[in-house]
Amino acid sequence: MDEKRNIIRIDGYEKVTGRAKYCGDLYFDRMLYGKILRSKYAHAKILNINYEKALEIKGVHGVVTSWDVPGEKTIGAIRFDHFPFATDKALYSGDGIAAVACESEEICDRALEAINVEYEELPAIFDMFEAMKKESPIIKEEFDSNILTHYPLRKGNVEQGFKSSDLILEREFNTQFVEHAYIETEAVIAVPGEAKDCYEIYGSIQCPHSTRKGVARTMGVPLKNIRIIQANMGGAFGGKDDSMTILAVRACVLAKKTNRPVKVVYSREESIIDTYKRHPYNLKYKIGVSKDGKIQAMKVLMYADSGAYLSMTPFVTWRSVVQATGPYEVENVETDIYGIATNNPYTGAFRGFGSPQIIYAQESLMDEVAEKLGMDGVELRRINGYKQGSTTASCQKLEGHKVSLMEAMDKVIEKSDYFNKKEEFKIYNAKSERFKKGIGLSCSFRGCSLGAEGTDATGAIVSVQADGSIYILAGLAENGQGLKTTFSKIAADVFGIDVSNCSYLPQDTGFIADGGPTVASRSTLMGGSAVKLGAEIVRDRIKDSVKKTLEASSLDDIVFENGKVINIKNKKEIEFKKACEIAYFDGKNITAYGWYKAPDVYWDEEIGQGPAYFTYVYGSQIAELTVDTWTGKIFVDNAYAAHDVGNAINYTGTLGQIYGGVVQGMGYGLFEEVDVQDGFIKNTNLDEYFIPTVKDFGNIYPIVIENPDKYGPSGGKSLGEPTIELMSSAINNAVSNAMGKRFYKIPIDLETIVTGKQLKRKQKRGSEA
Amino acid sequence: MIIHIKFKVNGVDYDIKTENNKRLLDVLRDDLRLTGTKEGCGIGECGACTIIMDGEAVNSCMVLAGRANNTEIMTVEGLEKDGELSTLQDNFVKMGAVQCGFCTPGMLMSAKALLMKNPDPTVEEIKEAIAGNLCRCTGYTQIVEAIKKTGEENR
Amino acid sequence: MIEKEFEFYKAEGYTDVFNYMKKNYLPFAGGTDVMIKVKEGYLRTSGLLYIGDMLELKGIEKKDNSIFIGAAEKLTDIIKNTIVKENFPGLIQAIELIGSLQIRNQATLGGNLANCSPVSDSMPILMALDAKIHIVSENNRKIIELKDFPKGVCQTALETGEIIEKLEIPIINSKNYQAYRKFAQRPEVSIQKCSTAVVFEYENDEITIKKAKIAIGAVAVRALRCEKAEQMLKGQKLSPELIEKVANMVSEESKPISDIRSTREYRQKMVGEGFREIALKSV
Repeated sequence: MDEKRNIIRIDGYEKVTGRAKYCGDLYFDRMLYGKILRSKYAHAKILNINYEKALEIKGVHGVVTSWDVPGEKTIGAIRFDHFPFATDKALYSGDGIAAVACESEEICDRALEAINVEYEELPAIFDMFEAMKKESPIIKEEFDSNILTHYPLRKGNVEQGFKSSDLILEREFNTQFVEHAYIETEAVIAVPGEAKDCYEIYGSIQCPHSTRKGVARTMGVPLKNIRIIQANMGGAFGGKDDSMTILAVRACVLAKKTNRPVKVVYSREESIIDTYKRHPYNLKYKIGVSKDGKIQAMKVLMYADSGAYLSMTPFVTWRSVVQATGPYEVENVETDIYGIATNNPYTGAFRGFGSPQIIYAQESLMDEVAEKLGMDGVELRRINGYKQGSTTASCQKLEGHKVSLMEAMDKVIEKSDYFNKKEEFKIYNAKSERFKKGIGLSCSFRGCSLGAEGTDATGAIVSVQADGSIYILAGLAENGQGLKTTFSKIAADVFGIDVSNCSYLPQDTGFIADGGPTVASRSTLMGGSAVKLGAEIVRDRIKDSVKKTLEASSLDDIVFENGKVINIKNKKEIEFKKACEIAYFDGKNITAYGWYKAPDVYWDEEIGQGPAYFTYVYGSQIAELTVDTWTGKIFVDNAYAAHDVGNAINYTGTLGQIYGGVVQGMGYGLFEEVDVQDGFIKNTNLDEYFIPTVKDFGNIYPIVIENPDKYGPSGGKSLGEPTIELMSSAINNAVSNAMGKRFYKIPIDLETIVTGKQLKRKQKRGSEA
Repeated sequence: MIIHIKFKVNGVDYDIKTENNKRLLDVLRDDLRLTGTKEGCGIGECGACTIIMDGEAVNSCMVLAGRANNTEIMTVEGLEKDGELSTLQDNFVKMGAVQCGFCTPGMLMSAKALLMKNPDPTVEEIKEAIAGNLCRCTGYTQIVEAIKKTGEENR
Repeated sequence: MIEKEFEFYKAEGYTDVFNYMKKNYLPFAGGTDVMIKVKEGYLRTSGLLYIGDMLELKGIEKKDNSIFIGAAEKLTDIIKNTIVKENFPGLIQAIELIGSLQIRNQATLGGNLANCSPVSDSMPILMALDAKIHIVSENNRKIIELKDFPKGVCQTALETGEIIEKLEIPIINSKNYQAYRKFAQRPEVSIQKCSTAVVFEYENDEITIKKAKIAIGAVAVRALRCEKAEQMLKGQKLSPELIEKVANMVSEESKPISDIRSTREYRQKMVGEGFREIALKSV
């Protein structure tokens, strides 16, 4: 690696010394511990909750239920349909019924056992198709049916397109529930504030401002009464958003009841049972191509299991509809996606956000189409793949940024020696009965940031001190991804100083404006731009103050480089430190707020057309693997990942995102699955829910492509999510290359390879159970 | 039941009274407030609570408090000496082996236990030593590189 | 914090052990299984008795054509032991696949057997090695064959007041081949879907099988010896046809179920596969 591009992580020191405080590491005077009682049934009416006996136990300070929620009973990022405490009904097995605050976790457990809940079990639905039947009961009363969302997309005339096709292929794919499995489980401490009806909430909270909204709403207080302070985050991957709002509400209600700080840390089992998963999808693809490989039409019908709550289903499924036909020019498209309510655990945001499912399907399909046409999948992708000025399924012309799909494919093909390996493996496989080798590619485009999902703006404070050191505070949060370092680097670059001069302040809703959620791989692009704007405002104020000292005739002559402020005309220079001191004594405000609002985007929900995102990123990954056909074991020997990141502002961090995303993608494709049976999760800890260990794969080769984007700070854009979305289809294609046999479900576990049937048992349908 | 434990943690002698149904992990975190050691699963599967007990890496969630009597323990807080990061820690920071940082203390202790016995391990030996430490962020690659480099610097 | 009140005592010798067991204390050594039971609330005893440091339960020695392994010997120490390595490479293979290094640094062989999980990694190979268990109680000592030890899921032949003192594994004096094959999503740091352990003892010609011992794990409530398959190999030389037949018999002798970790079909197939793989490697 280029040593000069290696940036030292600014929160590294505290994390390698054990000094970094995560929420569970915080203690407050008179602090109590809280625990949640969850539903015994996947669907039930709650007739009565009796907790008199629990209150008699020594050390129990309070028990709360829905009745104790002082404000609204519901929260929700998109629609207020989620009850932190089940009010009349429990809709899934993780629903909270009551919570206790006690002097120790051990007493909490005894208190929970002493609570008596009377239920009336209701018929439950665990299957999306069952839920859509007319005669099925409606799970969520506030909706007209169990179809919670529907996004269509219409372009051209698909029937015409299929008519002019030489080959039509129809395939059905299925994907699974997946757990985020951040190593730090959810944790919150709610502390009653000094002022009336005010609360400070510390927590492992991915989107502090979103959580604040939910807590203020349910506590029945203005936003200003709730301060959310983010502790160090032990990973999130999209999973600590509304789940944490739920937990924060629960803790806050307990804090109100007891008037003491209350700490709630979920055990791993609670974490898996309570919080949302990645949506399982059922995807039906129909594609028509002409003999020469040109795609004529695509028809895509998808169903996403939303579980018991809406959560992010509308936005997740919307992204799927925008990107469902992949990075390919298709004249005639008809896509529909439905989000369906069931009594399964609810599903929500998870790194990738509606893209891993569709890319798995569509990239597997592309290889199969190519095979039927007698060409390599790469050739088919080259014919149809986006190039500069291509038009998307929603008729957005791809311009204003470099459309680097072909570049990403070319680079990953070259690095992996894709075509030679294919030949080599053919020879190898002909000789080897047991072990088969295969190589497979996939590629994608991805809209950056929120797109037409909603308001897209964010802010940052850059506060330069008189000695030239800097505080940064932004509206987006460090979840482990390296935002603190990247933002500091962006500010440091504006001032021409080393990143070690910057400190990043803890995220606190009291000090920074609501800049939207830390999601959608938008941090560098959006938050980074805000930091840059803030830093530039301060830089210009400093310039103004030092103009005289540097004898500059124009502010444009003053540059900030290598820790110095220089007049490029007369070569006069002063230390940056000195310049800050001058500005400070000059009475200048050397703290500034940068605010960045994304360019306008638009979406017509009726026909699914419009410029969905203001810019896109492109990537391509290759999996090279060995299948042990006797035991079903698939081992990815080498993985290659090429991603256009605009500009790798934090190069070390960029590589880390790629490694991490690729490995999560392998788990998704090969063995991760939350086993939900009759609405209850069977694998509730990491001994049965496998995530990859260091020994589960061979080597990963990242390829960083940099085509600076005009909208990003120094050209940088999105990376976090693209890295996870490609591996499952690359693996699926490699397995089929190895075995000459295709699979249509993930994970491709050992049982699938050996017996043709996935380990997962068939979902029983609730009403038949 | 209250028990009495005498042990050495990061070179400091402790003589404490605590409840016997605590795990060593709880003793370290709640009684000594050495919160660097983390809990990730509570069943010895994730390795976030790894510490070194009498020279061996163990999951502190799997050790009852009473068993810690008369032992010598090292936690992540014991790696830094006189305000200077150890080479291992320094390489973790420099080489991108840390993202969210929650697995980091356990990962460091597994690596430290390995390096104490095997100052310059191979990549395979490193993987074996940290196979019981789950990380969800980094994809492990930079962690292995950081440990490898530390070994090379021990040559 | 473990969410249950219990007593704790560290035993210094057998007197302590038997006294406290009378008070319904559960003896444990490494604790890696017991701690999970405690956490999950399955522990039905009034206290825990730590026996992991008792000298009576330590030591690995060779005596009278057997190797004796103390019940409280840690897995890591057994792996490193040269006499075990020389005589029982199959056992080393199996122990290396138990848990993670952190687990092996605490867990003991006696504990692994006493816990008697159907998914134990040490049980099948030890069964195939004809291991015996030395049991001690206040007034008695006895030796039982390991194959008679497991009685069901986490149920053993241990009676009230008895603990495992040590394990005896007879040394095989003729040329032999031992191997353990574990099937799981990954062999390390995971619980097996199923497993096959094989020991071949050869005649003086070093090819003809004098005695074959095959044990399979996680395909019934307890690990099993495949006696029919073993019989088929007696006095035979391995041929592709014979391997195929025996592999099928091993599958046939298994009685697996489908559960969260695997399907009946996969397990049944794999235990035979395990034999096939080991048999092919042995020649």
